[in-house]
Amino acid sequence: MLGVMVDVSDAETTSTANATFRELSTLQSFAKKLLESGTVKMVIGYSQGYTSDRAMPAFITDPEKASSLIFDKRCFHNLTMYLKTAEIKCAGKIAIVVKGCDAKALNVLLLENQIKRENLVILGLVCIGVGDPTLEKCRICNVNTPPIYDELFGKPVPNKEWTSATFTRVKELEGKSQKELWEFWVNEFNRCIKCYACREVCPICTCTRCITDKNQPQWVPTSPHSMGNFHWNLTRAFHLAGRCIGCDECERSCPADIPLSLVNWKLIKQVFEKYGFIAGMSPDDLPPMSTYVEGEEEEFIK
Amino acid sequence: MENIYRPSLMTILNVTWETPDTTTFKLAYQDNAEKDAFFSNYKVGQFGEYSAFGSGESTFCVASPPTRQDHIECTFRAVGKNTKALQAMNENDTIGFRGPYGNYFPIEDWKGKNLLFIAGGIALPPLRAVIWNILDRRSDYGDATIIYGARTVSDLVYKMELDEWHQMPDVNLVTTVDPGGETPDWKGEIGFVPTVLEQAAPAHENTIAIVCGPPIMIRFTFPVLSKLGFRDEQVFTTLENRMKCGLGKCGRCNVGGTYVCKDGPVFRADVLHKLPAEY
Amino acid sequence: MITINTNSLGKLLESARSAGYRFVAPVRDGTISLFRPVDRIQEIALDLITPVKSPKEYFFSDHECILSYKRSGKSLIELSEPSKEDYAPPTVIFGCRPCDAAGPGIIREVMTWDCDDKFFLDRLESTVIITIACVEADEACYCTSVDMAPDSETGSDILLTPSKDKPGVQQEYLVKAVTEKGSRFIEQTKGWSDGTVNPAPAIEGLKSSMKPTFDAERVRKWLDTSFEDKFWDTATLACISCGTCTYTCPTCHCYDIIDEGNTDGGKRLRNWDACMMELFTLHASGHNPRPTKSNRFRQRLTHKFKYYPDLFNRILCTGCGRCQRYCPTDHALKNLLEQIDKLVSTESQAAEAVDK
Ligand SMILES: Cc1cc2nc3c(=O)[nH]c(=O)nc-3n(C[C@H](O)[C@H](O)[C@H](O)COP(=O)(O)OP(=O)(O)OC[C@H]3O[C@@H](n4cnc5c(N)ncnc54)[C@H](O)[C@@H]3O)c2cc1C
Ligand code: SF4
Ligand code: SF4
Ligand code: SF4
Ligand code: SF4
Ligand code: FES
Repeated sequence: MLGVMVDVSDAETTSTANATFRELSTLQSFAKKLLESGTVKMVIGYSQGYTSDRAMPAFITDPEKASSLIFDKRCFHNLTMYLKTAEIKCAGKIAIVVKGCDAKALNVLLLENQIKRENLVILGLVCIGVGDPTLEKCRICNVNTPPIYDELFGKPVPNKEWTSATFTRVKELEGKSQKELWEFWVNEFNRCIKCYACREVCPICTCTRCITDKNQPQWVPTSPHSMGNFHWNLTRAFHLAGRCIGCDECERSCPADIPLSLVNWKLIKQVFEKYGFIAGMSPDDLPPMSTYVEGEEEEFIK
Repeated sequence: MENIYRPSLMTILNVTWETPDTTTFKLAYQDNAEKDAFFSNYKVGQFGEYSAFGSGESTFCVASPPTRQDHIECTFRAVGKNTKALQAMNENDTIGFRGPYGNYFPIEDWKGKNLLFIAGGIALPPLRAVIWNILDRRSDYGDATIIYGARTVSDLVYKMELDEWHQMPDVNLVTTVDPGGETPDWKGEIGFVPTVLEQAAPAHENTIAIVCGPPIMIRFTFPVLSKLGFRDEQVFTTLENRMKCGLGKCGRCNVGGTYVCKDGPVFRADVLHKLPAEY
Repeated sequence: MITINTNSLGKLLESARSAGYRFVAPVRDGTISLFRPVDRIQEIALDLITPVKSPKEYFFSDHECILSYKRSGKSLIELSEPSKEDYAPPTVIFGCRPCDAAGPGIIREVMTWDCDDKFFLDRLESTVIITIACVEADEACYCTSVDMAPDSETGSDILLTPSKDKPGVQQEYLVKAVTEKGSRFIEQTKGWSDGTVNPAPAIEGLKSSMKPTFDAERVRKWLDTSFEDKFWDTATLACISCGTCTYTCPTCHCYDIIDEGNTDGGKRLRNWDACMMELFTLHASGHNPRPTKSNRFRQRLTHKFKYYPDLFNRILCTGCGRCQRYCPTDHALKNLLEQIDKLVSTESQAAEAVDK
């Protein structure tokens, strides 16, 4: 579900609150040129949403429409998730607008051979946060300047470094007792209706057949009851361990407003503390959950 | 109010292995009233929902004719969860059955006409019910021609019955297997069903053609039929959209505005051609 | 006609509960809103446009047992069913908006099509729907485009019409029993009414300000001939093919039937399912009649605005706006309907121009 809405009647505040917004006309004319020159077939970016309070994904093929591109605090969507769709896969070379967090997803997709670098023109935006108030992921963002891009819009800002102290929300959760945690999650997961928006919206959920859609054997019960929901929500998070880049799109999309990002960030923290690894920082970093280094200390394989 | 999802309990009387992955069940109602209710409604072409309890339900046509009232039969291939669970069952075991559902072949309108049956692979079961139905009422109908093909010899179902039909003087049976699917002692044709049909060139006058098979076979058979002079109004087929309820409620079987579980599975070709390509 | 003041709604709740009804109403829970059984009037959130989840689940549960089976011998099975008392307790759904109240009545058409789905019908029968006409709408609302209005009584058993044309103020609601069931409920629980009056219709303002934004009949005609139109592919790019729009919709009613258990015993469940899901129509052979999200979205829109109206003469949409409000990508059904409407009018204008 849409977490935060901003009042666009106050366009002044919106634009000054986000420095990258000033680069909008540069972005628009750059996109226009890409389309005009035939460098790309399509530009995926943001445009004014259907209702005044929202922005929506835009799939621009006509150079004249490039002027409809926007970027402001309402541009939550991680557009890289469209790269896994059949429609975009066969669209040829495309350009895509990414914030720093979105760009991390590109690195993971490149690492996992899900996309071809030569088919992409990456339009990186220097982003100091979306949402009003600013989202949690933006508060602790370590990629205000995207880690990968072909063209950068906005003046690069130095990126913050993570430490264990970064993950305050997870820490709060870790302070709870087993029993409190159990009750907390039962209550949260109970609301799941198995709409799979969390999966569909995730750029990293690229499996052609998700495990929850397999019935031989039936690994995950498909019913939206407590057990089915627990299975699903934890399976989803675990398969993203060391891969989730923390764009929190699953949580934003969830109509039941389940704090899915808490599970994800717990795993992000774990992977960070154990392996010093942050998913999506580069297309070449080996992912700790799927690499084995000789001599590696593995507590769980004994 | 009655629970429309409550299945009848059926005892498996007999299990026949047609091919390594295809089985025929002979089933008897455990409840006589339910059996009577079934046979007072059932017409050839209709289908039902068969379940191995614990594995869900699957849609199969009823493969036996209404002229044989002591049991029903179904023939199915193991492709998924429930079909595999059913195939693991034995004689005397209990399964669930709901039906009959859907429309049927208008065989009463076909009286006095010649019938041309064209089937491919596992799609013989719906036709088998019609074939036995008309053979059981032989004098009502004209010539009967059956063209049946499968990928390989071992993929042919109802081998016993094929022999039986072959022996019958008033049935013209042509069997064929795809090139490469023959065995050294194979006596039938070799070639794809549409090709064999074209060679056999049955007459179209006063004839009804009933075609069942995989979508690809149907696609290539229709043009051959029209080349042979069949009008769309003379050609019937069945659709196999995915189903759950069989009752027009669960919403998954529709082709455009037509619900295959209610207005189908039997379609006359001219009606089918008016539907959007959503099957 | 009798009336009830905002202050007396608590009395209505009390009397309904003491008459044995479960009292379901819109509530907020953290950041989510939904219909839920309440004990106290303070729990109710009457200021919501609509809760995220529609009250559909009280007629058509997201998962429900329709059969239990048990092995009763080596090769024998025994069947049993949930009892009506358990799945269809007497219930009041209070504080529906007209768009939510209309939902179950529309679904009823398919649930009674040739044979009756007792799980749905029993619940409908044991439920009294008390609706409050709207004095407030948001940009996503479009009831007036789909034969509905902010004060429609369709589907309600009792309609409360506010006296003042303003949200968040004390109201003196005009109480209208729309159905026999509604009258019986009022009869059975009376004592909460605040007298009788003859007030003027209160929400004319909202009704006249909510102009239809597309012509549903014109869209239906276009759909007759546009199954293969290239519109579908480009217009549906943003959709991610999830279940949000269908599961929050008060009129979507598709379901799956699955077993949970082993060969010795278990349950057969009926779970929500939706045409937007890729697996919905997938054959066991791997063939899929609707392989793309554009195919699936076409099914959703066409089912609602053509197939269902063709069959039952009712649009399968009440204009509640949820599919727009909660779509993760703002891929609004309403937006597409308006686009189609515009397409038709430009096409017909062009045709007229050629004629001249
Ligand atoms: C009118 C009609 C008549 C029919 N008659 C016959 C007949 O006479 N004989 C016959 O053999 N068949 C017949 N069929 C086809 C038959 O209904 C299906 O083959 C059967 O329902 C498959 O059931 P299942 O439970 O084994 O498959 P399932 O386990 O349900 O698997 C198939 C479906 O499950 C899903 N699925 C989940 N995981 C997987 C996975 N890992 N791989 C693939 N799919 C997966 C897919 O959506 C797929 O469509 C008929 C169908 C119709 C509509
Ligand atoms: S967690 Fe939320 S988004 Fe994911 S399936 Fe459940 S309800 Fe849908
Ligand atoms: S329209 Fe929106 S809510 Fe519906 S399936 Fe598409 S993305 Fe999901
Ligand atoms: S289709 Fe959308 S607007 Fe119409 S009833 Fe469903 S959720 Fe509401
Ligand atoms: S729109 Fe889709 S999910 Fe909704 S009722 Fe129609 S087919 Fe079912
Ligand atoms: S099988 Fe459920 S509607 Fe046709």
